[in-house]
Amino acid sequence: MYQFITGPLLWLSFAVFFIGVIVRIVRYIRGLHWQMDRVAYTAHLSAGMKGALRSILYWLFPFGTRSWRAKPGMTLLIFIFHIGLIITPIFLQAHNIILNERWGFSLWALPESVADILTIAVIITVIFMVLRRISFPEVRILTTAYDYLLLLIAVAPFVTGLLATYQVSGYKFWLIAHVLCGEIMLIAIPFTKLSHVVLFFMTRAQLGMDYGIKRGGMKGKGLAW
Amino acid sequence: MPEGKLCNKKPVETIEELQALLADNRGIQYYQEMDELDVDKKTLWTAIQNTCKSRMRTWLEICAHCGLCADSCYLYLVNNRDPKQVPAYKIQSTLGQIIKRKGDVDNTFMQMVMDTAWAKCSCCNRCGMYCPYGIDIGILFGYVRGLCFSQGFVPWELKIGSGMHRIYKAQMDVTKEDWVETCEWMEEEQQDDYPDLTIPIDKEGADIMYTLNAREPKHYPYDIAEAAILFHVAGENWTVPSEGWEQTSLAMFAGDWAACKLQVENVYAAMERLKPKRVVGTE
Repeated sequence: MYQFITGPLLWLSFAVFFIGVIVRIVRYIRGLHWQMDRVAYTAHLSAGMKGALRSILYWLFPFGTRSWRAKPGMTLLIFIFHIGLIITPIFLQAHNIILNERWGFSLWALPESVADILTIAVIITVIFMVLRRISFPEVRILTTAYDYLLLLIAVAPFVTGLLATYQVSGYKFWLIAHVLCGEIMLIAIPFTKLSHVVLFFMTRAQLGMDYGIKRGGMKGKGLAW
Repeated sequence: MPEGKLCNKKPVETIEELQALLADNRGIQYYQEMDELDVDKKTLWTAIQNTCKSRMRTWLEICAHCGLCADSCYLYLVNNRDPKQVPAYKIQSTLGQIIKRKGDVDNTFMQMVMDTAWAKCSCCNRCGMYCPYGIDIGILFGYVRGLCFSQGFVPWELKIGSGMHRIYKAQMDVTKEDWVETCEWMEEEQQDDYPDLTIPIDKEGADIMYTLNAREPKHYPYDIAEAAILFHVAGENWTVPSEGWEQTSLAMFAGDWAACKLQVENVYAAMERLKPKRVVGTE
C-alpha cells in the first residue's frame, strides 16, 4: 500500500498537478480577447507588463494594497495560512530526507520546531477562516459547502502530517492518510478553485495590464490627459 | 407570448417608436408588457458562449467567497450592509446562475437580473480594486447589461436613451440643424461683451475639437457660450464639429453595444474629417 501510494500514485498526482496547471494557464491566455476585454494587450505591451508586475507584487505583500490594509485581520490570516502552506511541505526535513533517498539531492531543511509552529499556524488559521465564514453575514451569504470542502482538502495534509510526525497511535494509518491527503490536494488543484495557485497570477496580471494601459498607467506618456 | 409594442427585443430605431415610448408615462405600459416578455434561452446561451471568455469565466469560477468586496461597494454600505448587496453575491446570483443553468432562466429571473444590473450596480469598478484576485464586478455587470438589453429586459429610460443615440447620434433629440443653429445663436449673443468671439464649426486642423453632452444645446445653451468665452479669452484655436459633436453614451449604460459603437464611430469620423490635435469633452 505504502509502496503504491508513494510510487505510481505519487507520480500520477504530480503529473496531474503539473499538466493541469499548465493547461489552465494556456487556456486562460488563449481565451483573452483584446476587443471583448477592451484591453490593448499587444499594442501597449510594455506598459501592460509593468502594470501586471506592479499589480502582482503589491498584492503579494501583506498590507501592500489598500484592500489588505483595510482588512488587517483577514490579511494576517490569509498570509500566515499561505506562507505555512507553501513553505512547510517544501522545506520540511522529513520530505527532504525522502527526496534525498529517492533522487540524491535535498533542499535546506527547516528546524523541526519551526515546521511544527507553521503547521499549527495553518491549522489555526483554517479554524479562524471557518469561524469567519460562519459569523460574518457578508461572508455567510456567499459561503457554500464547496468552500468548506476546499478548506478541508487544504488542511487535511497538515493535520495528518502532524499526527504522523508525533507518532501517535496508529502511526501507519496517519502516514498513509497524510500521503493520500497530499495527493488529493495535488489532484484537486487544477480542477477546483485551488487553481488560484496559478490563476491568481493570471487574473492579477490581466487587471494590472488594464490599469497599466488605459486606466491610468499611461498617464503623461503619449495618452493626452 | 408575442413581443410587446413597447417592450421587445428590438432596439428603438425610428422616431415613431421613440415617441411611442416617450408617451408611455413613466413606462407603465412598457413594464406591464415586460411581464409577458419571453426569454429566448437559446440565443442567450449562444451569446454567452460566444462572448463570455477566459477573463470573465475565470472571475466567476475563482471567486473565493471571501467577502472583501463588501466594504468597497458604496451600495452595500449605504443599504445598511445588506448581505444581498455584497458584490460577489450580486454577480453570482445573476450571471453566475445564468451560466450554471446554461441560459435556462425565466422572465421573473431576468427581471431580477435587470433590477440588479441597473439598480444595484453602477459599474464603478471599485470592487475590482479591493478583490485579491482583481475580479471586477463592475465590468461583469456591464456585460450582464448587454445580455439583458439583447433580451429586451432594459429599464424604460435607457431603452429611450439608446434609441436617441441610434436616431439622433446624441442622447437627446437634437438634430444637426438644431445644434448648428444653437451655436450660431450663442455666438451672436456674446457679441456685446466679446465682439470677436466666434464658435468655429468644422474648422480643419484646429488645436482643440470640443465635444459636448446633448443636454447643453437642448436645455443649457449658455454652457456652450461659457466654453466659447473661455476658449476666446485663452486665445485657443478651437472648433466644434457639425456632426459627431456629442460624446455621451446612454447606449453604453443601456448595454446596447451596437449603438455604443455607432456613437463612438460618429465622433471618430469627425476626428478623421477635421484632424484636430486634441479632442476635449465636457464630461
